[in-house]
Amino acid sequence: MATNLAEPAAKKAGVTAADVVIETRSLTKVYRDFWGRQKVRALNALDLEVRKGEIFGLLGPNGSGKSTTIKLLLGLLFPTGGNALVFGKDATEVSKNERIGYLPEESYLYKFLNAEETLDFYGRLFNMSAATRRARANELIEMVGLNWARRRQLREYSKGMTRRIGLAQALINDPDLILLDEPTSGLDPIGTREMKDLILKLRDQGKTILLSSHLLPDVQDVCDRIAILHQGELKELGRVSELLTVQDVTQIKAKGLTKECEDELRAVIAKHGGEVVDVDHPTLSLEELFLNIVRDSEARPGRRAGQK
Amino acid sequence: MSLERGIPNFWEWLLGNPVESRLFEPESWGFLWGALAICFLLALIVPFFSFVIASFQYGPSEAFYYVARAMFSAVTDDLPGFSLRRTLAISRLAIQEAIRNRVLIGFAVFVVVLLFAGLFLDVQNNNPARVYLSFVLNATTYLVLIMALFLSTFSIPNDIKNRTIYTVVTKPIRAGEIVLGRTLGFVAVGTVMLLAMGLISYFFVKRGLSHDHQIVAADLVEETLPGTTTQARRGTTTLDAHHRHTVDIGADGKARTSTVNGHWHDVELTGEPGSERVVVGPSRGHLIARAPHYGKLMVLDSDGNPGPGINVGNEWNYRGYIEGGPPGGRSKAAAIWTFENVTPEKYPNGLPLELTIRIFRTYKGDIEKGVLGEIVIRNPDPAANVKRSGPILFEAKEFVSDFHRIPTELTSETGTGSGGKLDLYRDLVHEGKVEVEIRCVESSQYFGMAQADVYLRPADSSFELNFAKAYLSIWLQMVLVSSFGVTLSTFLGGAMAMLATLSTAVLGFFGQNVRDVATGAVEGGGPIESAVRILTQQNVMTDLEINSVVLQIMQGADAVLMRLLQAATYILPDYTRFDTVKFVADGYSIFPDLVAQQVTMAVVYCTVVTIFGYFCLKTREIAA
Repeated sequence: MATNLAEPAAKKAGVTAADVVIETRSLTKVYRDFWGRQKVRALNALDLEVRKGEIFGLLGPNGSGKSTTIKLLLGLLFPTGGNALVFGKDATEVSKNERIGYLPEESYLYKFLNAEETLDFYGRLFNMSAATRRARANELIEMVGLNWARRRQLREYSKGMTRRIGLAQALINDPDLILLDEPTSGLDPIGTREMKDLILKLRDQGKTILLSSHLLPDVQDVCDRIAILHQGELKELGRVSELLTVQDVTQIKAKGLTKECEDELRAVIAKHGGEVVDVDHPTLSLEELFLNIVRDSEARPGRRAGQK
Repeated sequence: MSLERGIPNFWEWLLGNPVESRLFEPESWGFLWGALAICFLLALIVPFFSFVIASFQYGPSEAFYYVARAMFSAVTDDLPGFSLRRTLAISRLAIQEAIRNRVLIGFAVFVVVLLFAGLFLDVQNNNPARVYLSFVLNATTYLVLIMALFLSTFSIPNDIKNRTIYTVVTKPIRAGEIVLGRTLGFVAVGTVMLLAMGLISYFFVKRGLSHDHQIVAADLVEETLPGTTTQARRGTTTLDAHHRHTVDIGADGKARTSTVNGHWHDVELTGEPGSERVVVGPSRGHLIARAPHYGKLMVLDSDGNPGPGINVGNEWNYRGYIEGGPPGGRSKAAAIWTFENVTPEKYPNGLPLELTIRIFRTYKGDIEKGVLGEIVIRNPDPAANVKRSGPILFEAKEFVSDFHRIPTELTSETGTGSGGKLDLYRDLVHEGKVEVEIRCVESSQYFGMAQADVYLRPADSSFELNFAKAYLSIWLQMVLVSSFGVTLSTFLGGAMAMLATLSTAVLGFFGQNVRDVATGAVEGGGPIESAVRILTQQNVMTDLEINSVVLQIMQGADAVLMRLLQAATYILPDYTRFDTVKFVADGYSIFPDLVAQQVTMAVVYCTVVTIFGYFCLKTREIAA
């Protein structure tokens, strides 16, 4: 089970209840049609734990249950079975939203508002005073670099700009937990880089971040821990560094060798030693790991994370 | 103006009449008890059905937990957490959205309609003020209600469809704040529209009714006024706005024209003899708001027994008819109104009596002339010395309000009294009460009357205030529609929510008709039976030619449907109570009691509906 992997690690690190920001217990979501017949099992018995101050990545192909998980955690969907707890409260409770920031898949914002009005509106929803709202809006517009477009209606914004203002609205309340659904989608390489830097910066400020993505390099760059979902099942869970390390392979790096020399070297290494420049465990790219898991999952549909 | 529901009394309406209330007739209950009963039933039924529905998905114990938690957290979390700032943020958003959705088009339509209306309105009508007023008020009502319908029902569904609601509900906003905020926002938009429409309408009516006449001084004719020795100069105005007035100018050179089409003009003769000019002032008396002082009616039949009056044909039984007969003749038929609180302070110049009498002629006679009637002032005190005044003859005119001032000095009934003179207050008013008896004195002719047809008319109230009250009624209807629209859209899609809201309004406007169908007062059976009748082309009066078992089943199903329909008409607001157009158009002040009723109804319905909407949105799976 997934918890087999998660729990010992948690115990080792001395995790207390207060450190657990998100907890799901066999969280299940079944979409039904009008007649109540089961249509899709979007999420099946997910057990997760996200701790304070970490960047947690939900990884999976389209339709794997990433967005469903985030929506369940926000109370936008109600679980068919199991529980989703955020800050120890049930996910359907409104009061948890005080400490949450959420950037949806596409920034679903009111297109007839401009950047200032947008942030002001969301500030009001947090019952912030006029002065606080103004200060916070200025700060965030500056931070996401939209100062030049602050008076323009959102309908005129490019996708990247919409993404930035979406992020700004997610941070309006200086949240402790930030849920980012596909944060880099639609961003150009520079925008992606900036977004990733920002995520790391937020982590350094002590915030907890849960992000979902199918863009593997992004996840690899920023996430501390990841969960890989496929067809609603948790397939892999753990620290990125651990997951990508291949234990039973040795990699040798050498330079200045000719073709003949290389052939010889193989023989020589087998017999003697030679000048070994670097011996290390190679890492897979996340892409390889991901594809392995998906391929494996398709070959053996029932397998869960932790089961070999 | 006919008042089918009688003259309203707010407290009686609210608390019911303790004498006439019956436990098993909800119609006789006061509004308060009815509302409480309905709220109590809803508070039982709605959670129960939610529980049953949730049980299918989660099983009974989980379902019970969900329902209980939803209700519990409403009190423990959402109510204390209510924030006006968040609510108003949603309102602001709704306003901005409405403006963006070109709500002003509705306003433009109104202006265009008014621009063209001037061409089509029938100014030849003998009451142009009524035509103008009912037109603008009805146009305003429908436009504003349609606007409220579209704005309110599409907003939340669009929010859900565009998923913009995701970024809203993931903030600490309560479902109730969204429902209330949206409603308030649309009400604000509607209010501004309504104010603008009201102002434009007012000037449109004023302008539409204003016209000028001219009188050429040289055409004035010297003559002696009939019945007096007073000399006057008689003139006729030019034909303008399809009518002309006559005027008798006295020695002082000032006069008032005859009243035609509900108005008159002040006339003044200026200048030296020989070079005189007649100045005709602007039209006056078009826009009035009578504040009637109603009495209680008792109708006596020709034997002198109280009854409803004769029904002169298969027609609306709002009015009862009394048979005419010569004074002192065999027929004792009369209509007697008892007025209370009649004091010399209130009516120092006698009783300002206004009558609107229907006439049923069994022979035509001189159709140009009215039918003669007599008014007798009676003392309600059975022990009084003077029982009644002498008769005051009048000519009853049809379809117009006929004003008679009953002087304080009256002639006594022939053969009684001292010197044939009576004083109204000394001899006939007893403890503030006085009776007015009206009889028809032509044999074989009938007078038709209802309680509201004869009243005392003290000083009129302000037309502008009355106009504003009519707009308040429209405003309240708009608030109701917005409230229903927003609430229904919390669980229905845009188009469905619109249809449902429209249905509530239609059921509300035609509640009485629907109730008549539902109770079987209208021939033809319930929905299934009438559908069969239509398809098989069978008359509503005949017995249905169909297998008797099938008929039984059909009628059984119909009975259930009709019960539901009937219940629905009681639960939904009765929009006809908000219809004050006829008051303003006919020139009557809208009763304060009626305004109080409307405000109470609107407040109660909006509160209940908003709470219902709150629960619907709260328990809705937004992203599903």
